[in-house]
Amino acid sequence: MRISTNVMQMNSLNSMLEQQSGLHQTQLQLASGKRILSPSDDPTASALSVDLNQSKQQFSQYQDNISYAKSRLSMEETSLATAVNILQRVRELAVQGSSDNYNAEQRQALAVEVRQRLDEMMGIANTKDANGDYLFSGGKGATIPFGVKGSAVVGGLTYNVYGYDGDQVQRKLQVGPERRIADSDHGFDVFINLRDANGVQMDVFAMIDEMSVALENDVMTSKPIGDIDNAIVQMTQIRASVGSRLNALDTQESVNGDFLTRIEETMSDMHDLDYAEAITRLNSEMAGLEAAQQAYGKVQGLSLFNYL
Amino acid sequence: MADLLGIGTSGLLAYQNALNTTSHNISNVNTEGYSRQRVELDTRIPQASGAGFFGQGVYASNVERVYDEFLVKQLRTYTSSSNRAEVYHDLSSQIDNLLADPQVGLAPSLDEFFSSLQSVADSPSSIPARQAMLSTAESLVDRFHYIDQRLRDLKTRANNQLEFTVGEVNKLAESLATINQEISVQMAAAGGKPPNDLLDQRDTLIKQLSEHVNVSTVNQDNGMVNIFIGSGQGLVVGSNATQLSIRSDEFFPDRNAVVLGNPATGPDISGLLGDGSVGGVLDFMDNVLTPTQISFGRLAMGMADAFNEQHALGLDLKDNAGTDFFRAPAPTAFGSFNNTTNALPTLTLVDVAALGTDEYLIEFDGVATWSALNMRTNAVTTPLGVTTIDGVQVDVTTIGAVAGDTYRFVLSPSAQAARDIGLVIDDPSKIAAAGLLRGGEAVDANGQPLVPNAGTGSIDEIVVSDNALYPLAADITMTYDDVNNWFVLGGAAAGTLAYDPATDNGQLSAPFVVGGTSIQLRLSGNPQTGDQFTVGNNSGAVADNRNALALGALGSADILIGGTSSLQGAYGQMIADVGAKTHQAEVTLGAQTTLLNQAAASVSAVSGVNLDEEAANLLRFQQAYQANAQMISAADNLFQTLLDAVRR
Repeated sequence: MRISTNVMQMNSLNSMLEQQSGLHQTQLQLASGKRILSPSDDPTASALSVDLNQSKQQFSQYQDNISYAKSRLSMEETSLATAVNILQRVRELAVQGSSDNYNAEQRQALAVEVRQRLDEMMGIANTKDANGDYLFSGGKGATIPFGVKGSAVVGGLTYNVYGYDGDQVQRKLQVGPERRIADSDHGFDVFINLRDANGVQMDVFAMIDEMSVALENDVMTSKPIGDIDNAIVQMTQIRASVGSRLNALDTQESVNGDFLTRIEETMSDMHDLDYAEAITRLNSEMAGLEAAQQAYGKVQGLSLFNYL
Repeated sequence: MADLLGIGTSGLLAYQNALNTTSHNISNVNTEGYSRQRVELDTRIPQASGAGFFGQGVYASNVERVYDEFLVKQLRTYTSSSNRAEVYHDLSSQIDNLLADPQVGLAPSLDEFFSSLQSVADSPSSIPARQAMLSTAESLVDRFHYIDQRLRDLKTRANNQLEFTVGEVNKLAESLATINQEISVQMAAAGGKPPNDLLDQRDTLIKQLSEHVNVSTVNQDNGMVNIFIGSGQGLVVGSNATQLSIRSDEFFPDRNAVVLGNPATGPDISGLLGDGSVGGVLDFMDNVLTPTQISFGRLAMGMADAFNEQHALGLDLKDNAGTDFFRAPAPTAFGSFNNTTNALPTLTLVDVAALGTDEYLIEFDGVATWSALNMRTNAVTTPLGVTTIDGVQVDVTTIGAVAGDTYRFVLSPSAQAARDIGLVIDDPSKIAAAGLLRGGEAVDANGQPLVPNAGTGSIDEIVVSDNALYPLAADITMTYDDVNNWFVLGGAAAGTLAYDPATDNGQLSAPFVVGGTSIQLRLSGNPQTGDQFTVGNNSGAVADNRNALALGALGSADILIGGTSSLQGAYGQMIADVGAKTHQAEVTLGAQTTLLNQAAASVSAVSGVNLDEEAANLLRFQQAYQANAQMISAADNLFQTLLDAVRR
């Protein structure tokens, strides 16, 4: 076949350009360490990587949420432990107070400590979390949940009436794709909606208040002991549920962690360059370019005019 | 002897011509579009004598251009198609690269926005967390605008390229008309012999024209060619050239259209131009840029609408129901510049999940009936009144068309949404993180149980359809009746709400309506007869994160494409789509380039200059010239011999 001089030149030039462009691509891959430089290199993997990146971000956020929930729950745990300790001390005082060995004066003295414990309990119930929100006021984080609302006279004795200004909203945090865990309990369940020795609703403050009134007026009965016993049982139950939520958070944290590792592996498989393969390719492309250049040099020297 | 001299001279002249032509070939070895030339040699008319005919030597009868019309036309076709592929690929790669860059793409901004929302859910009362969420929302909106602007820049670039190309085509058309005229004059002057170099020049111009548009040619007897572009529009007829011009598209002012002749009155031939760089630009606008803008806009529209809808179901820090968080882009339709008035149909987004990416041509038939043509599937919907198309309610009745009116619209709901999305809220306290309503056991003024409840029932979740009921005039009271297994509703609500602990525990209840809003409750536990619950207005709920959680869930919820795709998923699909189209363009470009190179090689194989061949010809013609010169010398010798013989 007849070939024009121009086509011969163009062909050698084109083959060099082609080799160069392949070499350039490989070079970019090696420089960035990435297999996919733009979505057109692998459209499916590019779309998938958007998804994977989102999952990665999401799960990292779940991990953050978990540590947040843990901090709130640990705080609640501590508060409840203290509250139970207070109740146990109050129960001891109740036992002492109902003993026949104590006279009215001594009972008065006991009542002073009971009143102190009551203040402590009120302090616990009005604890704030790290954000400055009241831990036990439900959704109304800025509202001080517990306080004395007034007094009532029953049988000639004056009792305090306690009130709850929080609400019954339980806050939950997203800790997994389909998992939400409550990061606190509202004060209504913890301190208000308790049952006394007779199974009648009574709040914990009223229980302690009733006991101190009885001690102060020397009309101690066995009911306060029963009340406190019930309150301890109910608070311990809530404390147990907090503990089990903390455990669940630990489990979820490690599940999330595993998932994150898997996502990163998949992303690495999809995006990262196989260096051995790329370097082999680079070498063969370099050899190809060199050969094309040499061929060009040799072919260009050929001309019949050299012999005329 | 005179004969001998004459024959020798004829040879000298003929080979001089041949050598001239060889030298012309050699000097034009690198001239683009040059076809090598050959001198055709013929014997001169012989002289008759008694002994027969004596040859009278040689003459150059013709200078021929070595040329294969079929191959040249093939080269033009491949030039057009490979140029289309090249322009298309070049422009598509720009979008591809834009979306490839993780720093520039939308995905990281979306992720950050929904992460910051989770931080608000973690600590709803924290102003810094709320401020951070507003900042990420702002950068998300910026990112929408940024990418939208880059896409618009590409449209401007495509428009400019179209304008430039039309200018080129016009220049070429004029040159071709002129050269046609020149060729016909020269040919007439040369007695019908072709002016080879002019023909080459004209072919080169036609090839340049074929880089921009599809070209077909018809040869005329006088040496002119008539040139048609696209699907047969006459560009050059004889020595007359028609001009192309640019005007805005009938529907989209930001898009150029190619017009034959007068820009105001000429026909729009954009769709008819076929291959070439014009075809590549138009193809890119139709098949890559516009669909990308539409799906990107759908993302903006879907996100803004879904987010606002959920945000309205929450309560902000100041006890107000949530207002619009994003400025939601309104669906768009574009009217033809031929319309009787500028009125547009009234469009309302009614279903985000049903939003599509198809465009519809909505047309009034000039009598009484409206119809909508899906421009992808060609499906027709008719008649239209108030009709929902792909989740957008289209109301054409507000236009008030009467018989004789002309109305044509393109419905492209999300075409501008990425530009139109904005952020409305700038006050962190206005983020509606809390729930609108709250529920629980009925309590007295001191927050102590009212009854108190003997059972274990509880209200775990309150779902409302909208915020029209907020604030409730009175609490909704619920008193349980375990004989009938229902709650008797009171206060703001009336009637009963069924709850059977055996089957309904933890399930969402049937809806009941208060103040035009439908409410559903998730109830659990075993309530007893007489147990009382209330659902009332939420307030002071700084630590309540219920709506923030619901908003955060939108980040991974399948809210788009018929409820099958999340925001990120839809974005991923868009990237994959552009990637696949660019990849396809790359493959096509590769194939077209190979075909073009082969066609060019075939033309060159026939018409191109080969220097070795010319060297051989040089030698051949030189030798023939020398031999002819020798003939003259021989004639001189013969003549001398004769003179010597008679010199006495």
